Amino acid sequence: MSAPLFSIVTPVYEPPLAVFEETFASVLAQEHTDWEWILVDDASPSPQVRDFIREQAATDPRVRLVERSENGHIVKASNDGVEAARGEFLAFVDHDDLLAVNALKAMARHIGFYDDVDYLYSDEDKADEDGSLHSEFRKPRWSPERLRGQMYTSHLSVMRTSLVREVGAFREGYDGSQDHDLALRVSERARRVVHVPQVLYHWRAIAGSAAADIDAKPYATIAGQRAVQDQLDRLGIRGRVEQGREAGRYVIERELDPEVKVSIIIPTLGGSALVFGERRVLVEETVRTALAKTDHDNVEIVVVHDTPTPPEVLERLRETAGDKLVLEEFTRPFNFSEKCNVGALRATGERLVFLNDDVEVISERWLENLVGPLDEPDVGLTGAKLYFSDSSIQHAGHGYWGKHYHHPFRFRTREDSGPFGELIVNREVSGVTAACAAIRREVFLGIGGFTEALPSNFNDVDFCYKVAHQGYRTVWVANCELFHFESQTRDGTVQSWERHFVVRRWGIPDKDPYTPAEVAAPMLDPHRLLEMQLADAGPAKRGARRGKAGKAS
Amino acid sequence: MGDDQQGSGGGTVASDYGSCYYNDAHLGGYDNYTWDNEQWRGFFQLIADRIVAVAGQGRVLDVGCAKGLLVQALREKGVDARGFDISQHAVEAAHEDVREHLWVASATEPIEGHYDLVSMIEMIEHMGPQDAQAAIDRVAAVTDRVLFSSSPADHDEPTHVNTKPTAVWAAWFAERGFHRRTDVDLSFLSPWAVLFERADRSVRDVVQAYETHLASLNAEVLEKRSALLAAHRNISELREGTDAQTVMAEQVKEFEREVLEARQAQLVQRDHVVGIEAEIGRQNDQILQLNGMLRRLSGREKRLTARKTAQARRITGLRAKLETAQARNAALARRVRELEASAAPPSLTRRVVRRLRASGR
Repeated sequence: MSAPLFSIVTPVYEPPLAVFEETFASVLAQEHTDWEWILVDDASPSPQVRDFIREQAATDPRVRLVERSENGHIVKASNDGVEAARGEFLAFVDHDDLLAVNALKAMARHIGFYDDVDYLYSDEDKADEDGSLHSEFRKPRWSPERLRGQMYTSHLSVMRTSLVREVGAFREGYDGSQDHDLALRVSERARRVVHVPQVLYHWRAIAGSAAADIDAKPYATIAGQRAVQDQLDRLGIRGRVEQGREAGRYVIERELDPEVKVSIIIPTLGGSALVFGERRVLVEETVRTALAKTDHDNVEIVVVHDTPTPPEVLERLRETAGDKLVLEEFTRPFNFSEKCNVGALRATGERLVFLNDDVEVISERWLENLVGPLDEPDVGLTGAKLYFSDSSIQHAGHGYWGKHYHHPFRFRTREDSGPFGELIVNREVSGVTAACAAIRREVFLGIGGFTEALPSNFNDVDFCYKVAHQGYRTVWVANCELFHFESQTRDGTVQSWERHFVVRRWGIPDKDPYTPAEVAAPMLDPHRLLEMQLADAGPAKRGARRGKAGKAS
Repeated sequence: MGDDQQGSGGGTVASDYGSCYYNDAHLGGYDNYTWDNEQWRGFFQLIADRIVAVAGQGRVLDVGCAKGLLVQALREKGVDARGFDISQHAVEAAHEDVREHLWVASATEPIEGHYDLVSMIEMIEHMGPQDAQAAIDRVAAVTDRVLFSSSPADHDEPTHVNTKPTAVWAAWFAERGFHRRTDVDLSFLSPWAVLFERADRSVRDVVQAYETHLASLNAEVLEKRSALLAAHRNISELREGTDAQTVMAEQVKEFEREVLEARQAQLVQRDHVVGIEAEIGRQNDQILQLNGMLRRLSGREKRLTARKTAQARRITGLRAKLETAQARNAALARRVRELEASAAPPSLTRRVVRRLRASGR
């Protein structure tokens, strides 16, 4: 018998027979038939399942039972399976879960698209004991930063057998997060990682299993934290991994090389507004908090101010920022893009941070966490988590889908973790707002900065498209938090020609590769909701669209 | 003149020189006008050295000696020196080593004895014009050599009631047969200090002495003028250089501005290029899609055309067959009619056949 395309590996330990029979049936029902199944019985105390497999193996040569003489737990049992495998690819299936009938067929199809694919993962959902499916997890395109924040790929994971063996398969000591650890190590070396956007795996929520409650296995999250830290150390990424707000979510506190000079570019008019009940000159608080909430000293603040900016504001900025301050007067008519470009050209740092003048930094070490990811050469741009003054979310990455540019998760609360951790882990996104964004200088110059053809709206959308077009990842940083007192400084009305400009370059947004429209909804502004209700009640006209990538629908 | 009265002719009296005069900063220069003050002592020791050099260790009188500092300095050098002053306070405050060689007196009073040198340092300007003339007379009566210094301009000091240019004093001394020793330089004492000496000199000698001095002064002035001019030119040049530098700095700033603008233009161009590339890429994708669609449609068209041609050919064939059949049918019908006409009346069998045929149509 020639080597099959897939070796399904399943460690087996005491599943209820009825449950296992369903799992078994789901594999046997595969439309794609070029597979073998290695079932490793980890010395289960009760013989029923083992006997069942033995019987099946006797009649079907594709089913192979490996019997461990002693219980070795998940890592040892899985590695026995990897060792016995003859297939080109390994598919990991747990002993109580279900494969969709087209699972292997879909994987085989995507393997056929590329010669160099080493790792594939699919979408998944959960199956209740009564068989109903729910909690569909539509996953993003390959997102290495997100994989550090959470084990988002697993199920169904398919890996090239030779690569798994090359990295030493599963590691002892990472029980409970051994799959996360392996995914991190395999993806580091994979030539290509492919997301198959189909639900191919039904994770069964059985009491005590990870699907039902990861809190039931606290040792797993400790192992996971270690696995992620190991990756940072292996890749030479300066940072520390900490437990996130939810089990199985990890926070990365990054460090910055003191030699790296960071230029913070702030376009301003020196305007003031009422914030938290007091009148303040916005830019003063922006500069003050930006400097106060970082330990990085190698910083330059480039303030691009319009001519009417009051001199006493500039004087107070000098007092706050001292010799870190560079003032650049801007005499031409308002053009946000041009102001950013002029500031960037005046700046001397290797890292550029664009900051609106109407923000206030909340989180400590914001600059380290925002700028740190840019040390990875394929990360071009990073963005932050922004809140309205009532602490509801203003920005958690852009999403471009359904003919529009969106602020997904807008108006969710600060406490909300997102449906699948989207709001508490760093993750790859299609774009971020220029209200707070960091970029490497050479990437900025390479893409031609902000397009001056768009003076006020969508210039950041175009900017992000350009970054992605050059092959860079854009990372949204969950632990870089700021208030954004949006639209307090300028009018947010969008003109249709502005949208047309972006569409002419980049086409009409259809599906977002990172943020599926379903998870981000609803994004209803409570005020807008009220407005709509009032409109329904009376003849009043419906509210206009919100500004800048903010179609709240 | 009495101590408690105003001096004659607007001069000063002894009470003007009490402790306040010495304690306050009237004397300028150093504080604490006593022998114990190192600076004052050094100053008077220097004057004493010069006096010994000019007059030898003879008898010296210091008129207006104040606390006797010069007298003390001279005595230290072995000179038979003494002095008097109008201020009792000053004389009484003198150092004990010199106290017995000092006395209180007015310079307008006659002086006893004869002296090899009399010094009048910064004192005569304190006397009224008449008293000053009297003082010069009293001094001229007892010596042939006067060390003289009187500030020509220090009007701020309230006790300077009689400041005069040095030339005026020199003229008054000349009336009494005294002339400037042009060979002695006392500028260390004050810029206007003069050593007067009585000598029976002809106008010619005096002129020669002054001319000699004047010549060297003229030479110095000329030299300094040209040096000043050179310095002035130098300053002008430097100033012009600074101006040029300012202009250059402005130019540099202007260039920097231009560079910034050029870099911005480059950035904008880059954006255009990236944008156009994106547009081209998007349109290429569209072209690819449309091409695919076009290929599919042309394939379908070709297939349909072929089918249409085949159908047409079949139609033609069928038509030809139809025509043949119709011709044959017509021939047969004709034949039937001929046979029917030739075989009347028809037999029973024939009639039955015909009936059946008709009903079968």
